[in-house]
Amino acid sequence: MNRTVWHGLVVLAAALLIAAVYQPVGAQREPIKIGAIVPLTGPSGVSGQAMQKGYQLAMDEISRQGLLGRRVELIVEDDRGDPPTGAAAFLKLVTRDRIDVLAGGLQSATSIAIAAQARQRPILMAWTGAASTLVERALADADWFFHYHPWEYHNADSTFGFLRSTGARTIAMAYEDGPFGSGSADQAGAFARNYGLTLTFNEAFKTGSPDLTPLLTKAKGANADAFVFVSFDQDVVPMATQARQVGFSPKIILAAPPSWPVGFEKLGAGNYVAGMALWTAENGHGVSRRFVQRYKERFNEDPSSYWAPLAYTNLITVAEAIRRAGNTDLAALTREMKATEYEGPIGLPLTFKRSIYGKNQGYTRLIAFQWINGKQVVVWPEQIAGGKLAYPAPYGR
Amino acid sequence: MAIFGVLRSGLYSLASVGLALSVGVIGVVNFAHGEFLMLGAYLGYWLFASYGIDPLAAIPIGAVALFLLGGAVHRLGIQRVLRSPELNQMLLTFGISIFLQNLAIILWGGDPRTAAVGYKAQSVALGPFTVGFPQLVVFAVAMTLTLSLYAILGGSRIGKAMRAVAQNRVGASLIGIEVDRIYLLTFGLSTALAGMAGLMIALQLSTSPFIGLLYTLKAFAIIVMAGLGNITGVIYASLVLGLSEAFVEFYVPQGGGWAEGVFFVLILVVLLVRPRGLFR
Repeated sequence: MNRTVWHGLVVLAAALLIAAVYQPVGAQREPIKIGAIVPLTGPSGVSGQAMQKGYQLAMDEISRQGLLGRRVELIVEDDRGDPPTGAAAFLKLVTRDRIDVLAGGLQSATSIAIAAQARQRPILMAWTGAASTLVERALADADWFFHYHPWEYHNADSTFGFLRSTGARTIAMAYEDGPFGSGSADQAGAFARNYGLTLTFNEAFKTGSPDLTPLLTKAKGANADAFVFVSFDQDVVPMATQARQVGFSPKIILAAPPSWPVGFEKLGAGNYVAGMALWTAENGHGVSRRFVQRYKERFNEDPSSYWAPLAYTNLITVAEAIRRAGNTDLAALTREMKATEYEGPIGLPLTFKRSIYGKNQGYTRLIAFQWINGKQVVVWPEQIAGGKLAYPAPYGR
Repeated sequence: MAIFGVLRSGLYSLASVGLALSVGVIGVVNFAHGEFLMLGAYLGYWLFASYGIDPLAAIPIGAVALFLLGGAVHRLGIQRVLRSPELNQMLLTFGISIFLQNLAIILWGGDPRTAAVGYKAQSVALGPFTVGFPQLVVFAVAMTLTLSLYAILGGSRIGKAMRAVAQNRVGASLIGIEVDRIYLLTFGLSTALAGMAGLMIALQLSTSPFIGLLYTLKAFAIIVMAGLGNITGVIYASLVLGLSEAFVEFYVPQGGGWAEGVFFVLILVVLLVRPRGLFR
């Protein structure tokens, strides 16, 4: 071996040694990468944008406090409410961006597509959305999947629990005939029986229909105490107005759209219509009030739905788990996520427990509110109620 | 139940008559018709939310605004494909439809918006029946506009020119009718009618970027039933559709889920049994 080659090998060995010595330090300086998949555009774009604002508030706080001495990078991908786009976003985040944690999630259909990918490439999934049990079943054995939003049976349980508390005994129900409404309708009979309620009417309708008067006339004929309307946002206006037109005045009308149309608060016919949600801006909880205040200061608007505080909760609890774990190792993160105990803006304590199929379920209860003079006044459960339920509601009286 | 079906047909008729006009005179199957209706609904919403203008009072504004928009779309797009294969025309209008829908999402978001018009939930007694006041108003507006259009087509110079172009484009140009100008006016009028239907939706329901497709589909069912380009047939076909839906929804168990299929069944039956339309 001549001298030149020998010197070259010595230099190379020294360089490798230096690289090996400095690599852990370099790795420490790598940012903690959190990916989030949300629908920023498309039909659920408004909810997705609210989530992004919730994330921004959380990032302000995380950056202020610091996290393991490393920079935190949030990479938000728009799934457009489209399952293939969501699956592609997952692959991009995991393989190209090499994220440490996946957050976000809103629609069930997109979540199912992402779940199929996630099973092949496990990563800590702190998932806010999806109520369909298809998602729960798809990730039933995934110890690394943490679900924040109640599942559809939790929604149904809360709804019928609330109805029982009102004093209603008979229920008429109308539901949009897609997966969202049909899923609720399938479970309605069993939940009604559990709470000692009788379902006297249960009929489907097409979402977007401009005229619900035949359906409402039939529901009126059932003469039930309560009318439950499971629909999308656009259907609640014809329901509320046309119910008045046909003189349909049950003791309570309970609608359950994912969010409410802009302007519904000014609609006279919407007064005293009740709704179920994970959270409302009128929630009386102290942390919730502070969140609303900060949201208004930051974005100069009110949070219009629960997706903003839910996304905030999502990122803050992930950051706390990383802080407790001291690193981003999947096993350590999973262990610390399971130890989560958090009382944030949603107003209900968050811990992760087993659900029917899943291993780590967060929230399991919705709250009930009633539209009173343009405000969503929380009326159930009593502990966080901001007002008293008007029952029988004075619809058209 | 019949009265609900009749009232429902008013909105259907108004949503369809513009499409019947563009198909009948220009020969363009406009897939973006529902999106022009959606823009009219947003105009109605914003005029109400920002200036308190009732959607009924906004009809002239909506008609002019959508007429101008339709004219611009015709000049910039439709006119260039009129002599191209029909597939090109369809693809263009389909593209316009997607563009307008996404533009609305970007500008106003995906949330439905409702104009809280004071009489939105009011009802009036018609003899032994109680019917929704907005539905009655929409029906009256729809009938007035459709019959006015019929009168214009039948009695005015411009209407006769439109009919002449519809019957024979070459013949019409030979007798001195400016065919391109008639096409421009017709398309503008078609979009103006869609815009006015949108205003009536703002009055009665709520609007979102996604409402267009439903009305485009219903309008297609109606103009197929009426016979392509048959304006008066649109009224009868709307009545058939409105009544069929109302009866199915009320009398068939779980009929609300079936009602939407009614217009597809009607299209199928008409195309198989009487392809030139039921009312031609």
